[in-house]
Parts: sequence; C-alpha cells; structure tokens
Amino acid sequence: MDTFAHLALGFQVALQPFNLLMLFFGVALGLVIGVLPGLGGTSGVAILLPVTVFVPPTSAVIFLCGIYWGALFGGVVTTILFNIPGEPWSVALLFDGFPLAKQKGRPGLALSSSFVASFVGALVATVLFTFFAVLLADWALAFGPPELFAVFLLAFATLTGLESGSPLKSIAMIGLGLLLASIGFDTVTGAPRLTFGRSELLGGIGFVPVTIGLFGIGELLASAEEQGTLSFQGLAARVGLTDVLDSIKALRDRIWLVLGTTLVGFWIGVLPGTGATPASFLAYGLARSWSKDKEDFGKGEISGIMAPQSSADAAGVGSILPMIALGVPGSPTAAVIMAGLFIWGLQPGPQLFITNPDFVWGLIASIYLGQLLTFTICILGVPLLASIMRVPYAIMTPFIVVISILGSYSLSNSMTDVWITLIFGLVGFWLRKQRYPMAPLVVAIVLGDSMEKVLRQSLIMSDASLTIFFTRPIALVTMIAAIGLFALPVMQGLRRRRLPSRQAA
Amino acid sequence: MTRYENVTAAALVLIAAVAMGDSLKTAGWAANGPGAGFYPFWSAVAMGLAALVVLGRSLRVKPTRELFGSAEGAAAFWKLTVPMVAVVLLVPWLGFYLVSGGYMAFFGRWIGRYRWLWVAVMGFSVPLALYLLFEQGFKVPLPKSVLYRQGLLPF
Repeated sequence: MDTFAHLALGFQVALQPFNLLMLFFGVALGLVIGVLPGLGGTSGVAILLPVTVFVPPTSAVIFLCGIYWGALFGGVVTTILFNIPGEPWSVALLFDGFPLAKQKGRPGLALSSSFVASFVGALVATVLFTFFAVLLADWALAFGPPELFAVFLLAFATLTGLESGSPLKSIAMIGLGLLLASIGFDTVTGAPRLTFGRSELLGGIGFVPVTIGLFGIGELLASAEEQGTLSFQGLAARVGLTDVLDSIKALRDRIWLVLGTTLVGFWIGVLPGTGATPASFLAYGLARSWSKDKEDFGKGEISGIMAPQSSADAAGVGSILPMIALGVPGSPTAAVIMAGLFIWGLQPGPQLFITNPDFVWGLIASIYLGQLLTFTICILGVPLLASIMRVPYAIMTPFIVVISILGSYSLSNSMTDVWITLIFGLVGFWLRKQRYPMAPLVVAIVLGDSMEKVLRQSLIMSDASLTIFFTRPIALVTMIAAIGLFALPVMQGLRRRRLPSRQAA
Repeated sequence: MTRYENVTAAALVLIAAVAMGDSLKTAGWAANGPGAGFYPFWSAVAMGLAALVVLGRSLRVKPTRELFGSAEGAAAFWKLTVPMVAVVLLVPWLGFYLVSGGYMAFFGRWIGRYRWLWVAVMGFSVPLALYLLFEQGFKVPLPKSVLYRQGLLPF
C-alpha cells in the first residue's frame, strides 16, 4: 500500500507542467539522437548533462531519463530502414529488422513491431521497477565478478550460434573485437598495449567510430557493390493502421516470448554495468533457440525484432534501478545520469528514498509517462520516419556519409576517429565480402573492457584459479549455458561435414 | 570462395601472432592480479586458432570468384570510396561546412544529375542544418577552414 501512496505522490510531481515539458524535450531529443548513427544515448545524455544544472534536480533527472527512453526507441529507425544501427543496443535488430523492411517490403510493420515490443518491455519493466525495487536490487547485489563474467560469456556464446555462417569466423571476429577493445593504456597496470609506439592509440580506439565504419560505411559500400548501381532499389514505404494492427496481432502470438525476454532484459539491466546492448543480443539468441522455425531468422522474422527490442528497453529501465536504490549504475547511460545526481548535490543510494521521496518517486512516475509519450510519438511519427526511404540515393548516401563522419568526429573532436571510421568502413566491406559476421566483432569491441575487468576481479578473488566460475551456483549455471551454446554450432558444423556434402563450401 | 578468403584468414592469423607477441611478456600473473597482456594474449589465441582453421579449410578449395562481383559493382564501389576519402582528406584544410556542402552538391550533380538550383539547395541546407544542430544545439564545434583561421570566412 505504501508503494501506491508513494507512486501517487510521484505522479503529482511528474505531472507538473514544467516536468512534463522537460520530459517531452528529453524524449524528442532522445529520438533524434537515437536516429542519428554515432550519436548514442550515452553521449547524448553526457552532452546535455551540463544544461541540467539550470533546472531543479527532479526535472533534470526526468529530462535525462527521457533522452534515454527516446534513444532506446529511436535507435531502431535507421537500423530497420538503412541497416545502420542508430545505437549499439539496436545492432541485434539488423538481422531481422532490415530484411523485413527490404526483402519483405514491410518497413512500417518492422518499425511498429519494434515500437510495440519496446513499449511492452519498458512498461512491464517499469511495473517491476516500482514493486520489486528493493527485492531485486538486493538480489543483483549478490552478483560478483564471476557471475558477471559468465553473463558476458553467455552473450558471446549466443552470438557464435547466431550467424548462419561459420561459427569459427564468429569466434575469430570476437577475438579481433576483444583485441581492438584492449588497445591503449591498461587501466590497471598503466602499461600501453598493442599501440606499437603510436601515441594516437594510447587512449584506445572508441567503439563508436569503429561501429559507424563497420556498419554505416561498410554496408553502404557492400550494397552499392552488390547492386552495381548507385541508386536505392525503389523501396517506397507506406505505413498505416494496418501495420500497427498487424504488429499488435504479431505481439499477441508472441506474448510469452516477449514477456520472457522482457524479464531477461530487466534482469540484465539491473546487473551493474551491463545495459541494453547485451540484453538485446541475448534476447535475439534466445528467441532463435526457442523458435521452431530457426530458418526464418535473418530473413525478417518478427520475433527477431520483438525479442531484442523488448529486452533492450526493459534493460534500459532496469539499469536505472540499482543506480537510484544502491548507487551502482546498471548501464553506461545510467552511470552518466548518476554523475548528474552528484552534480545536483544528491547522494544516490537507499537514503535517497527517505531524504528525497519526491525525487525518487517523481522519477519512477515519469518513467511510466515517458514510455507512453515515446510510444505515442513513435507510432504517430511512423509515416514520417518511414518516408525517409523515399529520399533519393544521391541525397541520402552523401548525407549518411556526412552524418557518419560527423558522428565519429563529435564524440571526442578527433580527426583520428574519422580516419578510424573510414578505415573500418573499408575493413567492414572487405570482411563482408569474405562472409565474416560483423555483429560478434562489434559486440566484442563494446563489451571488451567490462569483460576484462570482471575476469581480472574474478581471478584475483580466486588467486588465478578458473574454478571460481564453476563453484558458485549462479556462475556455474550461466557458464554451463554459455559453454553449451558455444559447443552447439561447432557440433552441428562437424555433423554436417560428416554427412555427404550437399554443396561445395 | 575467393582467393581473398585465404588472404583474409592469413591476415587474421598474422594479426593474432603479432598481438600474442606484443602481449606475451605481460601475459602472466603480475603482483596485483593478471598482467596487462593476459587478456589480449588469450583473445589473440582464440582469434588465431579460429582463423587458422578457416585458412586450412579455404586452402583446400579452389578459388573461383573474384573480389568484386561485377565490373559495375567495382565501379560503384570506387565511385563511393574515392569521394569519401577525398572528404576526409579535405576536412582539415577546408573545414567541415565547406566540405560537406561541396560533397552533397557534387553527389547531387554527378550521381543524381539534378538541376543546378536543387544542387545549390543541397549544398547549402545540409551544412546549415548541421551548424544549427551541432554548433548551436549540442555545442560541439566542428573543424573550420583555413580561411576561417585567417579571418576571411565565418566558417
């Protein structure tokens, strides 16, 4: 009952006109940031953080979280329409979102499916947030580095089985990504790694310039080369009520899958450090392995859109929970928002529920309003968003190149990052032509640092013994799942090779 | 299967070998936990072994395809790549606004064959929009031209 009273107080705060206005600004900016490739939710929140010192803390946190919700929804737009992930957490949407839009000619359905899934995931996660806050936070606190390492490994294991091509090529790409992530100063010992005396590399290479290159530029080059002409394939998008109704119908058929991936996403979001990105990849892998028609995946299967998207949004909401209740950010974006709390003179943690209930419950109520607002804008904006497909190639292509260059430059005002984007664009084209999967590479670059950190902590805890991953119950279960998923495609590959070959490699 | 498949796998094996060599010295146990090279070393091992098997398999298959699927494909690839490299090379000299405007206009005229009026609209509107969004909105200053540094142009 206490929760309801607090939530009522929260809605009183969140429904104040100024807070509603801030929420609207946040969500609108978040959608724009989500759509722009390269300008991620995390950097968008970071760039706009200084602005928030001019408004009260509650309005400020509502604004920053609004950006997060908008970016979580909006990242899918370029992913589905252009095969360029607007956000790292929408990379998993590439596999089925783009095929549904392009090969099956239903961009409107692909978009509205992802919005509906986002909304359900976020809403369920917000309800969980509200009612199980203290309970879930306590549970997640019991997770140590070994459990987190096992979760990272599980994310990679699902990726290995995810591509229809060679699992060995996936593993090679994971290794390459982890290597790229470890370039630069080692944060623990301070030793330079893999820099070969180049001072530009000491700070490491950012995953955003690499991702823009591999996906944005690489895909642009690969598709132009495959088509042999410089024009879009005449894909016009008409989106109407039918698409929305179809996607709701599709959701009804997959409601248990979406609720399942929502719970998984929320759980991963609550875990410190891991946010929407691994949640969406894990959910895609789960959807594929739970499905009876695995062949449909990668060809525009709606489950491949709804599962990662509901999971990503649930993880985004979940990642705020440990930040507010325990002072441990659940995702990189939540970490930036937490930095804001310090700037506004607030101490995140359990005390906040007692000293600033209007702040805490105002934020929680604003999550409900924020998701509703974002969903409404997205559904109404679908025709507008999908009409981007009608823009001619000779305008869109140079514009994508300009935005890609700009996105990689603006992160740290560095021309080196622009060169990294260009080089990885060519690398991405080359690897694509040789049928190497891009997703494991990008995921490994994104997760590399956090994974190394928890691996180190685990090995220090166990004094260099790997048994630590197999003696703690939660870690053990996760490790067995991960190893099983790694082994599965390799075993299938071997079995297929023993059978009379259906076709030459 | 292309002959470039072999080249790619071999390059990955080579990168793994170089990375293993670079991190070998610190790959062991340091005073305060795993050394700096521990993680990159084992990442490189995983990558190298996987690429080695891919190489072994691709060497047994006779190469049949070329890198580019067709002559048109190759032309499309170069038509995109060369202007893109030019853009990145020119930005430090001409600044982001002149280069992006010029690039948009060039593409509209060359690939789109638009009328000059439309070309001019493309060339002006994109840098202006980017200026408002980044310089004014996000407060991210973008690279300016040599002429700006000499006080001859406002961008």
